[in-house]
Amino acid sequence: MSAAVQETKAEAGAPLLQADGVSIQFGGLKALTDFNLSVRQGDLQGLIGPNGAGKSTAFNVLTGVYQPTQGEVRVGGQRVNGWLPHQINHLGLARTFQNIRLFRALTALDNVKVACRAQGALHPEGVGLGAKMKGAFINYRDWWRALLLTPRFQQEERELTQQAEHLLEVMGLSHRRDEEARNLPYGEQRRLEIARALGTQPKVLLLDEPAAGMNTREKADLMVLIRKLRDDFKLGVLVIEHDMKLVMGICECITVLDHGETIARGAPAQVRNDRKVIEAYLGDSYLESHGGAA
Amino acid sequence: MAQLLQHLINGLAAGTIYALVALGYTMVYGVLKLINFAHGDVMMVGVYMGYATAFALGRDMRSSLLGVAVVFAVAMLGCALLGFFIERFAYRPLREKPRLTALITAIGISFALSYGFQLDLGFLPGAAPRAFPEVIEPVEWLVIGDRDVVVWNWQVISFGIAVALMVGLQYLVFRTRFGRAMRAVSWDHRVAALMGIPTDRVIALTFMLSSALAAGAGLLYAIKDTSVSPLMGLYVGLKAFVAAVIGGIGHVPGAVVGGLVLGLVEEFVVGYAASTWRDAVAFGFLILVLLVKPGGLFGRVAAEKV
Repeated sequence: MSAAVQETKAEAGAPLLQADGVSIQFGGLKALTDFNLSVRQGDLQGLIGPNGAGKSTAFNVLTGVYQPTQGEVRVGGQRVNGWLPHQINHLGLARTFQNIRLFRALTALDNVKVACRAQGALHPEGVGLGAKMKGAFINYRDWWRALLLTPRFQQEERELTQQAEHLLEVMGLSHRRDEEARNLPYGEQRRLEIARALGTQPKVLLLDEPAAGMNTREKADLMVLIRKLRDDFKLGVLVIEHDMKLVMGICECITVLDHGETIARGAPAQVRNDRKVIEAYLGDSYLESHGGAA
Repeated sequence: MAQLLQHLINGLAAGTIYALVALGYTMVYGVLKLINFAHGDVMMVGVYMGYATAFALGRDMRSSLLGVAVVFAVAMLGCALLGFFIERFAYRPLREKPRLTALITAIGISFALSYGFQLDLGFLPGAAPRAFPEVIEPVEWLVIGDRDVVVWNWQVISFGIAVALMVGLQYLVFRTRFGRAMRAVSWDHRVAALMGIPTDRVIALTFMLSSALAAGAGLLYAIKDTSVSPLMGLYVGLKAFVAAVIGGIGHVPGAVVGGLVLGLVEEFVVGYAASTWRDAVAFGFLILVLLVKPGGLFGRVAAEKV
């Protein structure tokens, strides 16, 4: 065990996000079975599968929304089974949502600022009530500083605003700074979600169908943008996507799920020609009429 | 004219107190979509804490500036703790249960507090109303004409404290990190958690804040009313709830306006009609507002998607 830990630490590109034999069961339904994954810095991986294959379930179990029934999830080498979503986020895992879930009544800037953290605002939390309350007062100590308008508070606010403004700029949303999120056009809402996720300073970014509802041109732009974000922010990126062209175009490694099971993994070309994948996506009848996979 | 002015002043003084309590309802509703019916009773407990502190301080000490500050500080901190424990042990375990469950729990806590405080256990003061000590000795602050209009010092102080607390709260909610986190949790607490916001702690702090505000407001009410009783929480709490609904529950400035409007309406009814009509008119006014604007004065009614 300890040898294995040392080994992963010694390795240059240690996995930032790792799922090890993760299964999750809702009552009798197996939503995810023996799911394995490992995302390193600079990775751009895809997660695909037909509807109901368990892709979003996988995201939910990685981010702590669901607890795995079996197996373990590691973020930055730390086992996070049983951790709360915000704690996992603090380790460097952020996500967007399939159906956009912005704080709709907040401005674009505030949406990003909510996620941003001032330097040193994160404190390791102990267990027990006392430690938690202490953590709360330290993490939100700004309320009394705010009331007293201390320079420290003002400086922190400026810092957060700058961070958020920078992210809006990167995502091409500067002109929407003070508009309520709900008034933004659809494509911009998707980009704002990414900006918000980046605000938490993640090491791994999970994008849940980022291109859903976009037209071809927007999709092309998005592909370029995702690559750029990976390089500029030194991220590992995992994308759920229905659009085959987008996934095949940007992902170096693709995992295919069907009925919660991993049916294929590999480079786009390899996955595209996998018999099981074609079966899952197009059904047996397609194979029969076309005489099997190419 | 002078009479009108006097009623206006009295109404505003009463209204600010309703507004402060209403803010507590609105904040908790904002983050949890829970109507915390125990809020008024938390306020009552705060008043008793202030009452006990005032007696412990003694006659001279308690009416000094420092004494008043100590009375308020003890009551507000004590109530913040009470609010924390109620949230932690009564509401949090029910967070994922149907909303009705938490609502019934709130009503249960409300009755547990208001009737528990009537028990005669020695350290509890019992069911009878007590005279609240003169923490702020009444002095005429401003007299116009031949005592046509009298403004008391406690009216000014209570108005001042209330306005300061409201401005502070508005600033907190809209200008600080904690306020942003609160608004994010209020909008969607699951997403907020995934964006790194410790939702449980934000909710706990919201409860503590609203309970502390309630204690402050309760003391102002007790000073105005010069009495304290275990059932005051039910009465004042209900009125403040009405104020919050009139303003549009979940809306911070709405709660303030609702409180002021309710205070003025009551005062004018008492002044120009009869004091026996006060409650009937207050609740009638609520019905009227909801008939015309179902979301309250500032509330937005979400159109049902078909």
